[in-house]
Amino acid sequence: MSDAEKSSPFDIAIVGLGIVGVRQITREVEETIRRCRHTFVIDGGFGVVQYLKCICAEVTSLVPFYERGKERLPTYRRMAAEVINAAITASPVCFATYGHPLVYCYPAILIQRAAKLLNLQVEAFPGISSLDTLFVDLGIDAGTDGLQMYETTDLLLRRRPIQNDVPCILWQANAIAEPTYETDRRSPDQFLPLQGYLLEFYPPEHPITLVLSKTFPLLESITETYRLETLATDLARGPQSGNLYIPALRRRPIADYKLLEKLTVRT
Amino acid sequence: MPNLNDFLSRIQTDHTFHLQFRQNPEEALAPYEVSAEERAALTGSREQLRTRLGQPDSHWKLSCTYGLIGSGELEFNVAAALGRPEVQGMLGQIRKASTHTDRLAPVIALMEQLG
Repeated sequence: MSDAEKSSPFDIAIVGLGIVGVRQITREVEETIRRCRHTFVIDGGFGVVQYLKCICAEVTSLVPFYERGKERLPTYRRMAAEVINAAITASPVCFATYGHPLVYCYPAILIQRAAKLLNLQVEAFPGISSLDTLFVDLGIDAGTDGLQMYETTDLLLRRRPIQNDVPCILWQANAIAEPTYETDRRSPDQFLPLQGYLLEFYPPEHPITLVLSKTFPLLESITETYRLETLATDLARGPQSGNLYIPALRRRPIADYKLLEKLTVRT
Repeated sequence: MPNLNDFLSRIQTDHTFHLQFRQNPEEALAPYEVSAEERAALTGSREQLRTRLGQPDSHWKLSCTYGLIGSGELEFNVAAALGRPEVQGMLGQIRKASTHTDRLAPVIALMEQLG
């Protein structure tokens, strides 16, 4: 065991690798991986696993656990179990995934929960998320009008109200109401409930942009803008991946004029 | 002679080289053994390159929040989990297991209790 391993403050590191392959691995994450005995990885980016093998003694891809048509939940439990088991056997270990490790990453939730019950120390390190790359791809600043975001299935499941004067991001629209691991093209019928629900908040002509950020430095991100009234058809023929950005319908008017007065006072 | 994979690996780790390629692709590619098809993918449309690289499967990291539907709690309650006999039983099996292989089954069983 190296001195670094002996002095590790955690048994399990949960790290994000970013969206653009090796290029977006932060120094903090790289240093963390170097200090781990074993890294478990979910990332299909070109050269990522090979790169990790250069900085960590043992690297295991968790991707083979996915099986088309199989429910995702047992797959994620199995992934989390592999990480926990390895940490009990010989920590520190690392769970590394593309994007941000605590954004839409169910194995990370399970790892953190199990670790609490087993007195294992967990430390998480952020990665560049597809939310970050979406801001760049669309050139928007969430500080202007705020931002709301929902996982698409959850939006429909709970019929969450949308505030249409605030931009909205819908995650994982292509996996709507789908508990299994599927990569087949989906039909317009599967997106109609989403289109119908959004029509309760926006007019038919309202634009919605699908964003699929680049995953390699030489590629370009895909952005396609649809009209809400044809969203189901457009999503079915589109890239089958990515997030949806719905701009605000209008800007909310000022309500507190006293505060406005303070902001506009010149000294 | 270095090949396409060497080129793609370097593009990711050597920013100066990446910029050189953007300014003068032919010069940057000169030391690499790439076929005409590969060269076309690198210097032509991005769609060709996307096909060549393959789009990483973004279906890998999908939400499973429906797995938490049964829970009305906003945060994981450690004390409540530890108070459940089935969880205690699995923790006991995990601690008792002497090998990595023997431990895997109870760890998976524990995960099923957690979400």
